[in-house]
Amino acid sequence: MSDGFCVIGLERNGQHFRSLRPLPRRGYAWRSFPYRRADKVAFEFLAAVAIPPHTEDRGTANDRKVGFVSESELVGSLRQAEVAPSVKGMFGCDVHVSRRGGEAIYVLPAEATRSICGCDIASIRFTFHFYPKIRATVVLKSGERLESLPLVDADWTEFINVLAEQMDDPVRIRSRLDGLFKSLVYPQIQSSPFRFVRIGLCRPDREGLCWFMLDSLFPLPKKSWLE
Amino acid sequence: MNSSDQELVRIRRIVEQCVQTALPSGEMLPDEDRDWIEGGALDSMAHVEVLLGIESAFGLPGLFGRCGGAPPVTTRAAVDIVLQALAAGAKGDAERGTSVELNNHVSLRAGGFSGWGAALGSECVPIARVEEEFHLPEGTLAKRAGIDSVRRASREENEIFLAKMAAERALQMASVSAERPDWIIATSETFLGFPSFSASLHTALLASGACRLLDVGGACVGLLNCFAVTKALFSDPGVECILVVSADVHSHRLAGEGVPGEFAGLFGDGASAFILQRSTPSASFDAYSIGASIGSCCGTFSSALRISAGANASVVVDFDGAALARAAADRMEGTICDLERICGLTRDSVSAFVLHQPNPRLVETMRRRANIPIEKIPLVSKTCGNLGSSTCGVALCMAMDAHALKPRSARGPILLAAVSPGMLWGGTVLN
Repeated sequence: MSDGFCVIGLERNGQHFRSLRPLPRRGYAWRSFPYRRADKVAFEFLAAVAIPPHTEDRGTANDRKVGFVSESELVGSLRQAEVAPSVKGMFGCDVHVSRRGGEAIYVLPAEATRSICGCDIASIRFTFHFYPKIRATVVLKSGERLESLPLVDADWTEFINVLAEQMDDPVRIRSRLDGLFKSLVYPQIQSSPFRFVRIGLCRPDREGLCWFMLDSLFPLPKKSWLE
Repeated sequence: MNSSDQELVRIRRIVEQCVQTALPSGEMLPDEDRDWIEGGALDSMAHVEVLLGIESAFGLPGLFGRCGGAPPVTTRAAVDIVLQALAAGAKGDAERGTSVELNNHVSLRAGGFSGWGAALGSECVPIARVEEEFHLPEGTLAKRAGIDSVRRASREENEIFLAKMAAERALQMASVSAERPDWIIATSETFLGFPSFSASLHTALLASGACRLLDVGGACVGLLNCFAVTKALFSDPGVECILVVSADVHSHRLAGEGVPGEFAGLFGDGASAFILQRSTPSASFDAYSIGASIGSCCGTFSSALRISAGANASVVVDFDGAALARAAADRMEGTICDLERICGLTRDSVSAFVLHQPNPRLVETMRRRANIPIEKIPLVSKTCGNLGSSTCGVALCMAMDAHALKPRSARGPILLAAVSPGMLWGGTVLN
């Protein structure tokens, strides 16, 4: 997980959508990306560069914005892309739990058939224990739990970092974030008409393991929740 | 080396073990002042996992979250934080649902095992007959699961019958009357209804009117849960004697049509019982007692096995055998590693590994992966089938028979590890 934005988009595929990951000229992450979530962006696709399980990777050029969609439209489209009701169906392979002490989840790159999947969730809890690293636990509608997911959703990360910057006591940031989320944020998520996540796989690490990440969480955070 | 130096060495060793788990095989540990991340030893993902591992190893969940500033990124910084926390008598806040007793930091004296006993269903059914009964292709259970036979309760036998038999053996061995226990703690994954299992057993044993009762869940982890409760109850100075019992009669419960034969055929019927006493003046041996205890739930695999009540008192089973076996083997191995780290044990020093045994093939897989000699695992499932919560109980009785009467210097600890639907897991060390 290097610094930068990992961008993923949707392309219409008949009645449904499929995910595509436009890549910058070098590397996998965009140092700066001039568009926002839910923008409609046109790209020219270059030769395929995908290495499993990141089969959605595409070289791109000549990007330009052509419009945007609302958050609910976006979630509607994501629900018509890669989705699974349970852990087993997410990446078409067995999942494994970390042996390092935590309960983070990984797959073996050779076994996974894709690197992104959406899922409706019952609930979510963030862990600010290791802030500025943020972890999340999600409970799927199937009753399964995904533990210790690194939060890489840019909107949510920014929302949390802005909150943290406003806190004057650095020692208590973690407990204050915890408290704020319990009293103001989780109720908003729970009352949202959609609770949907996109789980991504990070690039293989030094041991060749692809760890689960929380790529996107809907609803997106709103400043108004804090008022 | 004085005691504080020794403590520092111990803490550093455990921290380094945690870091080592995240390094590729054969890679050297970073120097104690070298930044784990900038030095390239750990990435962001591994960093958090290692910190969680350190917190877990010292029984200090939430430790690094309570420190000011960023989480530690060097071995020295992590050791300093742990050292300060232990010196200040910091206690884990049980945030992650785990309970860990630190080696050399025993605060409660648990009771010792002064009696134990097992009981099996009286019918020994060859596995070929089980395959026939469930219309399974020949060898499905014999070859794929490695089972030779299962023990089944007769029509007259049930959970209470088997539990009573096991309890009477344990009481007799401990030279304790049924009126003596202050508590009966009971677990069963097959007993349904009221009066509850413990209440029915209390009646059957004619236990004391002052004896308190507790039914504990957890299915195959049930016995380990009972031991965790037992240990806690001994913190009450008024508690002198506790009877722990497990009993499972699967053959009556899983006989319906909603249960796949390749699942139901794996199970047998049995019971186990243990008497723990705070003081055992009459005992001629140095009793094992309950040491470290860990456990939690790994909900990622909760869909691998689901059992629910169907119509007309039937049982509906939905299971993914391959996923369940893999997750179980991973978790059991992880539990053994965690207990080793927490207790400062080595695998070689353990006298017996009492493992839950879904089937003998899985036990063999776990044994090979964990590099445990076969003679250190009391094997139950090969001749009895999976006995549910009583698998560990019957295996523990075998381990106790083999080691408990030896002098302390001639034996090592007994390590228990089990998993159950959910995926609940637990591990206990008997010292």
